[in-house]
Amino acid sequence: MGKGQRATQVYKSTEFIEHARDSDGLINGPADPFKLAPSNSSSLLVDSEKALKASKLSSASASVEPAPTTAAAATSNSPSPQAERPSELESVPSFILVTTYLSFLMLIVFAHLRDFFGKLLHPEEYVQLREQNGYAPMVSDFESLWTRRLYGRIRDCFNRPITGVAGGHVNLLERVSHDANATFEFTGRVRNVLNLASYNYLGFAQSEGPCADKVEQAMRENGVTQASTRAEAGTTRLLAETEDMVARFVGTEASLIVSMGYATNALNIPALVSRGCLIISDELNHNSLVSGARLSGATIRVFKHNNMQSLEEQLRRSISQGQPRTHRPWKKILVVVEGLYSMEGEFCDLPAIVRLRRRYGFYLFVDEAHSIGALGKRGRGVCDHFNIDPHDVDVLMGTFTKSFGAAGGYIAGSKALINYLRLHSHSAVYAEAMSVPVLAQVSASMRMIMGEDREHALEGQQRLDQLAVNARYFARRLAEMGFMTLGDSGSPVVPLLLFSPAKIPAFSRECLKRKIAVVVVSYPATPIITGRVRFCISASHTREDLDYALEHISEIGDLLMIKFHQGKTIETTETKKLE
Amino acid sequence: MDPPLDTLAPPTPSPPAGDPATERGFFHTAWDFSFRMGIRYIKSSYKDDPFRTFLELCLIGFIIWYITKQKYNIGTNEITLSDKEIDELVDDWKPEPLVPDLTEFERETLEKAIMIEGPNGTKVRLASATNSKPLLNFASYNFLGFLDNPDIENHAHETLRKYGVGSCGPPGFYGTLDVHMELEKQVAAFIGHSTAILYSQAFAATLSVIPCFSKRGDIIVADEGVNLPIQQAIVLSRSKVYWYKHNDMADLERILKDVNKQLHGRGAKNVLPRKFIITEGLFQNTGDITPLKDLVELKHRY
Repeated sequence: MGKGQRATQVYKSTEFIEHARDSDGLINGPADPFKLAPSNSSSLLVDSEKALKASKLSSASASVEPAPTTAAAATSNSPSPQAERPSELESVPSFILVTTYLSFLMLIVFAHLRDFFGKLLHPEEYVQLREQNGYAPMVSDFESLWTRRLYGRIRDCFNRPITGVAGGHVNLLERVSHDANATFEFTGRVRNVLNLASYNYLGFAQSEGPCADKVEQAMRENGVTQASTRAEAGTTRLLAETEDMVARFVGTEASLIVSMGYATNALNIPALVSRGCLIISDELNHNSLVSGARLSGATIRVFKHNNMQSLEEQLRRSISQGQPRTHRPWKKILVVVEGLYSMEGEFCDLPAIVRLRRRYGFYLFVDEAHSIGALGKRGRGVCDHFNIDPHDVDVLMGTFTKSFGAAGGYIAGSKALINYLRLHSHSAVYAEAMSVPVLAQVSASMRMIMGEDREHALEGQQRLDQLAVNARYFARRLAEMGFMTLGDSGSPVVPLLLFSPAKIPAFSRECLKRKIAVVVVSYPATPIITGRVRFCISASHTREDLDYALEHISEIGDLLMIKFHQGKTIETTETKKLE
Repeated sequence: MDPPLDTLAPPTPSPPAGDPATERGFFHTAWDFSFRMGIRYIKSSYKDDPFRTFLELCLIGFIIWYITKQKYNIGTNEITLSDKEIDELVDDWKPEPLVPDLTEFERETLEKAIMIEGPNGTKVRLASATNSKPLLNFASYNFLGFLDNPDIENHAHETLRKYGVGSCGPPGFYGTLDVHMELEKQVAAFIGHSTAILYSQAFAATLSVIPCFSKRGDIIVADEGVNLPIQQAIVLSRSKVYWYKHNDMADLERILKDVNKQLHGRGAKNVLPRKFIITEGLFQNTGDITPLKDLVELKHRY
């Protein structure tokens, strides 16, 4: 079945129960979001018999047990998510693909024409692209063609400034441009919009509340910053305690905290591998992983996204051939994957990779930037989601920006690994230690999720449940409306494909008119024809917020004609299942 | 009047069918035919221009030479192995441990690492139980003494209550706060330029900016004593790098002259590469200050 149908497959026919919610939108009391409706419900597709029986069994037990187990049952019911996955592009009418290519072609032709005539008629505007006085141009005109001509047209959809907390709703500073997005002026007005854009999965981006109080207290005790690197005078008791807590949270022996998420990858991978080693990474890995791999000096090979056959083939070929030209055996092989790919909304196939690891003996590095805190029934990330022992993964990396409302990253692993990294990693020796308020926020939010905070023992689990419910609901409704969504069920990131370059800014601007803030992405973050809008669901979104958003998104979808699967969903899924 | 006969030989009569000499005659005809076509082609392309024919013959000669030249594959010196052999190699392969064991020296360094308790400032307190006296802090970067300043702490508390702790997103996607923009303006005004851009970590700032502008094919001339972030950024940028002796302006001048000479030697057809001089204002590793006035003069001259 195609990726677009993934969101509907696992989600059995259910109905939502209206709970009493407090001002944050969180459910008061234990949540019981999943209750099976009768099997002849017409609102959703019914699965093959085996899955239905399995879900009935789990629901029988779930009606007695509290919500977390039902969430777990729903997640563990899903078969290995990448069993057979035909390309999503197969289900798109070719008319759309052809028009997308033509649109890009037209844009590029116009860009070149404008450059050409511009240089002839207004040479003073292109001064910085020319050689002058023997100085070469800082940016060549060909390299900056994309930035100036194509990205410049839609610049108002990006870098939108905000003020205040980026929670479920955010205050946007309104700005206008009078010269085609070259410069912006603030009108002075502040608009409060629904925030479907920030990585605020568990809703910890708050300026009031128990976490903020703890941060204030920690700042009073410990000052504001360490002003020093870890190796020199940056290690404090607070940092050591937080590192222990992170290790406990993730399920490993020790951890190392770095002040910036990007730098966690870029500076620690060179400490693990060097020349003579091999890095096999997924083709859609994040830029920080690619940077780290390039800095390390190791050989880099790539396997097709989430394709275990491609990975195995690459492994067999690399191990048997050895290093290029000398054929000596590799010193180490490090396979780098991400837990949740944020542009696709997919999980990696961790069980299959762990099986391969036992067979081939490589070291596994999982980047859980988006999945830590957001996946799994206890929020422990992708290992929790797939019920895999964290000791099976050699290096677990994550960031605190997304689910914990803080900043920075961590690396977790065995004690030997972390001790080595404390001495040899650039981030420990040359980069500043994390500052006190951020550490305190991490510590407070993690304690809350683990349930160790006595006054707010249930709140962490409530947030996790609320996120799971919200994410599944949103993805299901979008798929029902006929949009082409990507991603696995349960992922808090829901990408929706737009394709055409004109629809990308149109979607963003229309949403802003209707007071919704969204993120649109196109090349170079995604392949050039699959421009998409990426919704980040949060536990601080109430049901009303999501319904409001869905209603408006549906209107915009009709306006922009992006409901590619409307009326086709049922036939395609059923026919594919019968195969 | 008979039409003028062309200079070709008259066509040979085709042999009668059924003749045992047909086959030989057929080949003979084919060879004859192609030979005549060749002659006719050469004569028609000659067109009173012997150079043209010479050029065409050279071209044909080149094609024949290229086809018959010995070829070799650069990239693929892969050995083809059977599946069973691959399995055996996979079973045999034993990787090195992910991290080597710590040496004695490294273990001691870890044990002796200090842990600070409480706020950092001019005087700090260590966490170990025996030393509870405050110690003078010569280890932290606290040049202007802001760590002890209570106004800054109060401002931090206010900011926490207004903005929370994290920005929940990269600057491109609703992570740009008004405070970010204000800080950028202030930094720019402080330094004296028009605009500035902020990064979360100093190491990452260098690592992002240098490869952004200096790419493969560009030239960097850097001081030998620059700190590690700059060195890593230069590696990442894949530019050609020349090192000059620490704070030695004469050495720098020599290198700049060399670089320019090489560029002129390559001819004006090539695109002019970007040339950067990278140095630090106050060196992190040695504490020297770079002679900026002389540097700027050299920059303008070369």
